[in-house]
Amino acid sequence: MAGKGVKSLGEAMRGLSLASSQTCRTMPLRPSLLLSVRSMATEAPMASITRSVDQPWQPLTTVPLTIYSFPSLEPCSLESWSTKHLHLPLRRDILHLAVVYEGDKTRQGTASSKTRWEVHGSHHKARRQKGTGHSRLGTKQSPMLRGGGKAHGPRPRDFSTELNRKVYDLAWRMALSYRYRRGELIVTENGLDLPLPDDFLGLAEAGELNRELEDGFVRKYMSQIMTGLGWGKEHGRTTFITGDRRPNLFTGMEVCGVHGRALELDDVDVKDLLETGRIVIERDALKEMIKMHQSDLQSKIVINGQRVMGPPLGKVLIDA
Amino acid sequence: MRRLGRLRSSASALSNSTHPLRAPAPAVATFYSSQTEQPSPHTSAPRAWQSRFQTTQRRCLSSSSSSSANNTTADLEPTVEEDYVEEYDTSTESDLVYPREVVEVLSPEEITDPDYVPAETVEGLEEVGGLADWWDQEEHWGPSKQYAGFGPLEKVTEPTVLEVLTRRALVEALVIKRFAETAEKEATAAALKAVGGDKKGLLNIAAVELVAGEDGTLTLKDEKNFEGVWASLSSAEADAVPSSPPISTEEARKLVKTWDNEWKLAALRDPIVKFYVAKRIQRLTGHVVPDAKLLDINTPGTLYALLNKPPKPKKLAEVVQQTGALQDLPNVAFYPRRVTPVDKEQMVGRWKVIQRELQKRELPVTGTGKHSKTVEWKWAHGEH
Repeated sequence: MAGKGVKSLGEAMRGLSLASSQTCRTMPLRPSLLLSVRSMATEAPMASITRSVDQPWQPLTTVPLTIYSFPSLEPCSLESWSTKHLHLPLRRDILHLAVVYEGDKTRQGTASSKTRWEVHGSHHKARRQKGTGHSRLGTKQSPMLRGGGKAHGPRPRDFSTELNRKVYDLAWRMALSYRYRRGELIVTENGLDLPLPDDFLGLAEAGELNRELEDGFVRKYMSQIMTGLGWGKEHGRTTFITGDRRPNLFTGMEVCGVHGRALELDDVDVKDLLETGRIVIERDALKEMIKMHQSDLQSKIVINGQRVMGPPLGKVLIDA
Repeated sequence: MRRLGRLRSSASALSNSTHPLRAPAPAVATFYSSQTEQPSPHTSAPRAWQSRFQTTQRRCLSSSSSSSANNTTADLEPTVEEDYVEEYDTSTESDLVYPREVVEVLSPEEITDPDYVPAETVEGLEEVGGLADWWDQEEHWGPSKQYAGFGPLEKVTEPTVLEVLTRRALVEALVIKRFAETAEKEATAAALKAVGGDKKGLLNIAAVELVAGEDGTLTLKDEKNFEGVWASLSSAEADAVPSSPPISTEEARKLVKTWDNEWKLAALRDPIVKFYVAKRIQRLTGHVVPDAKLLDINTPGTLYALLNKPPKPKKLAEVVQQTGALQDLPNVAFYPRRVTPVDKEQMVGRWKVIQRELQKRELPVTGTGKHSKTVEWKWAHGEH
């Protein structure tokens, strides 16, 4: 039976110049004349996730994190962080949700216009009901008139929307992970600040330089650092994040704003993490940031006196 | 948050001609008030700069500090501040040249002289230079203020030199990994920062044979080499990074030819070794290897390929020019920018003629000049 079927199939295939005696599994890949000339521009490379049963899948659990010194960018120490903190897969939709949520929450919502009841003036009838040849008119605050009230104008309101905390926290770490993957997350030692040369500080202290000269010096000094590191304007600017305000760094970035910005940890949003060419953050600020945004990794349910607290916040492999 | 008070009295704003820090400067860019010789106090508030001494103190976050080390530092801070007298060592030699006797001009409101008559035209007034570009002039900016990073400012891009330096970094990283735990911290730090400017040292280290060990990981073939390389590394003196590698392209090419490909295929898995490799690579070549890339690097070959990869072109035109694509096609012309109508006229040699004829009629060559568009055009486009 099967032989007959194959035979008739063979006859049918002959017209198409295909051989039916070969099964799909053994059939050699015949390059199509037209399609083999060029590959598809959008063709994805073959995924390497296929594996056999005897090779158990061992997913990555930790990623290395180098702590640099600033401004020399010397690698000082090495830490190991959980992939759930710094190596999450990118979900653009979640980042979008977070950015929209922040944008909504930041809206001032103070736009306001006066209705006809709020516009100043007498509510006396503007003209009599009949006999003027004009249309009927009540008061001069009528929305129809110039200077009258606004019929459906903006009123102060709260534009903020809601987002589940676990989703928002995931978005924070996802933004950090995105930066990490692209090599745009630079973690520095604690106390990230701009060290100014001693002789300049001496001159500034002695009052030898006026403000224009001081700012000019810091601007040039900072520009040199940013250009030397490849962090400047031509490389997409840089966001510095510190735990609190560091006078030299923050003032330096104010006068040298073309090359980037400096933010305190409390002022940082997910959107800030996604802007500019790279994020330079001090180690404790990063730790605090992740600590504050890991609600999706922690459980509130206590079992046997313990609850899941999520992966540890960094493990030192090489100390400075 | 500690800050030093930087409140200056108006007296300190006056120039002090006997200040030891002042370098002799040409009397340029000085401001003189035409009506009064009295210098004015600074009108803008002074900046509060922090000294290097303070910035090196470890600061901890108010809410997140949990480690005892940080707390200790925080406890110590007030003492430090008390000990630290707000005085700079003014005997420090400075290579900055700054203007002497800066006298700021009074604003018209501040002038009390009844004879003062403000000028109404700019003619006849003396011109004085501003200080906006003072530091941009080479002779004012001290050479010690140039930025110096951990690695050379110019990255090494020559493939063969890069290969030699990569191999050197690998050898050194393996050696440092072996001795880092037992050796003193200073010795390890010196080894990690060694620049090894001389060619002999470089050739010695690059000549050390690298093989795959029993478990396939990268190691040195000869055990004796560990000691030898460590001795030369740990005794290296701190030195500035040389601007160019100590080996020429030709020498590097010869050296690379003597190696087989085996060392590039051995496994490189230990994150600590990879960290040391990245640090040595940065010191020797100026390439910063990001952590995420370190994850993907599993052999010396992949490391070298990463370093040797040219930077991504910013424009599509650069890609086409580099790859030489489209150039063989007879019916395709390639331009790095938009082909404008002027370009098209130039291609057929008509542009000069058009220009001449337009100028003869006193019409604008490009744009509409003083002739606005027709009223009908505005009507058609809804502009009234």
